[in-house]
Amino acid sequence: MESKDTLRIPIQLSQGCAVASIQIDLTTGILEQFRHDLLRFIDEKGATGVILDLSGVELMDLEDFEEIRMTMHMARLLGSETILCGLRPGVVAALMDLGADTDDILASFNLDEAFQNMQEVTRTKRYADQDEAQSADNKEEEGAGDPFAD
Amino acid sequence: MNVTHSAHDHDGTHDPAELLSWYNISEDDLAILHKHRGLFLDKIEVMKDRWHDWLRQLPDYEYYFSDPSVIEHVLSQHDRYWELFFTGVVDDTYFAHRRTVGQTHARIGLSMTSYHGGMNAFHGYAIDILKEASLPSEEHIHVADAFVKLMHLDTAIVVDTYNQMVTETITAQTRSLMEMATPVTEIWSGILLLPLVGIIDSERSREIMNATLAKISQTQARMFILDISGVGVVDTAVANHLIKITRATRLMGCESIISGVSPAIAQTIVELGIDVGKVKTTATMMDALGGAFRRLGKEIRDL
Repeated sequence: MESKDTLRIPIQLSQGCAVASIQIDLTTGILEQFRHDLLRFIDEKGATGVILDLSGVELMDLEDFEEIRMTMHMARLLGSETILCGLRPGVVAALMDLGADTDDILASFNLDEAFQNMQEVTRTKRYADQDEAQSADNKEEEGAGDPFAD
Repeated sequence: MNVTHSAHDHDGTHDPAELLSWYNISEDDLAILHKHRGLFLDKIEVMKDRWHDWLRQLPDYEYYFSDPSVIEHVLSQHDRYWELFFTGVVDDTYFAHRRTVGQTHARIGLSMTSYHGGMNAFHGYAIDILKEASLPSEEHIHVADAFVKLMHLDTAIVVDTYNQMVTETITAQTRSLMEMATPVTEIWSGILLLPLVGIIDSERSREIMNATLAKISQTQARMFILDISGVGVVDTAVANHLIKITRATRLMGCESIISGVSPAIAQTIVELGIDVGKVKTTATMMDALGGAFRRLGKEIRDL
């Protein structure tokens, strides 16, 4: 069992994004702590996105990967998309061999590109939100004539 | 732990004692062949002549033995061969010689059918000699029996060696083919191209994935074009391998486009119900390249 004060993954705010760079060997304990820290960070600092730099990770098993994917899903529920970056060829090949499900994952080559892509992601997201808001407005207008509406 | 000893060594060769017992060849058998060796060895020239006549009517005769020195060499090899046959000792030396025979046949590519035919012919001559010798019937049968058994053992060693050599050649060829077959090239800064040719199995696909990922890491490419117009068959397994490769490149921030999808392949993919997911596909490599340039904010135009 990991002790309470396990190694922590530092998180910092840069260009409105929560940026975490993982440079240590992953364990379930570390990842659980990280999930907790990250979600709180997003909530407190209002980060619009998460960039996870995995360039220091040499080994990753399916369990670690699932843990990260779950954290990404949770961050998405808080309104922050996650972009992974710096994945090593060996790690990627291993994940493929293990049959990891990577379809909904965004990834970039390095930190620079991750920031660039994040801008694109947040921009399209904002448009999508606006569209949604607009269509919601339209619905309300339509709803005025709807006899079944409250 | 005492495991039943296998007659196969690591290099696929056999242990003499083991093979002798497999072929049910006793010391008596070897001894009786040795005892009557004179019968056969005295007539070796006759046997060789008859065999040469037999050889001449083979369809490959012209191809393999057109050079008189070659046929002379082959015939002289028979002296050594039959001398060993009747020594009454089957040991490592004996085995080594038979293996050399197999290797020679494999090297020149002589078919096993011809080899078996040749042995069969010699068997016939030996039986003829035996008939003329008019031994007591029991001894006659024993010699004939021993002769056939030892001949079969010889054949087994030769065939084994032959197969081993052929398999080694195929393995070496496959390996060199694999190495040649994944030329991931950076055709523009940020764009990689891999034209695939041939058959894709799981080992090859792993090879392709590793080569591609290494190249992405080295060049920081953002687009990867996988051209499959040279791939003969695309079935569920192949499609899954290809999809896996595109997933892997995406994890490294590199988007994949599969180009060269023929109408037949498109039809197969849909008919087999393969989910290609987010994979971009195009019919021609030109379209893929255009798409890749657009994605990188570049365009090609006339000057």
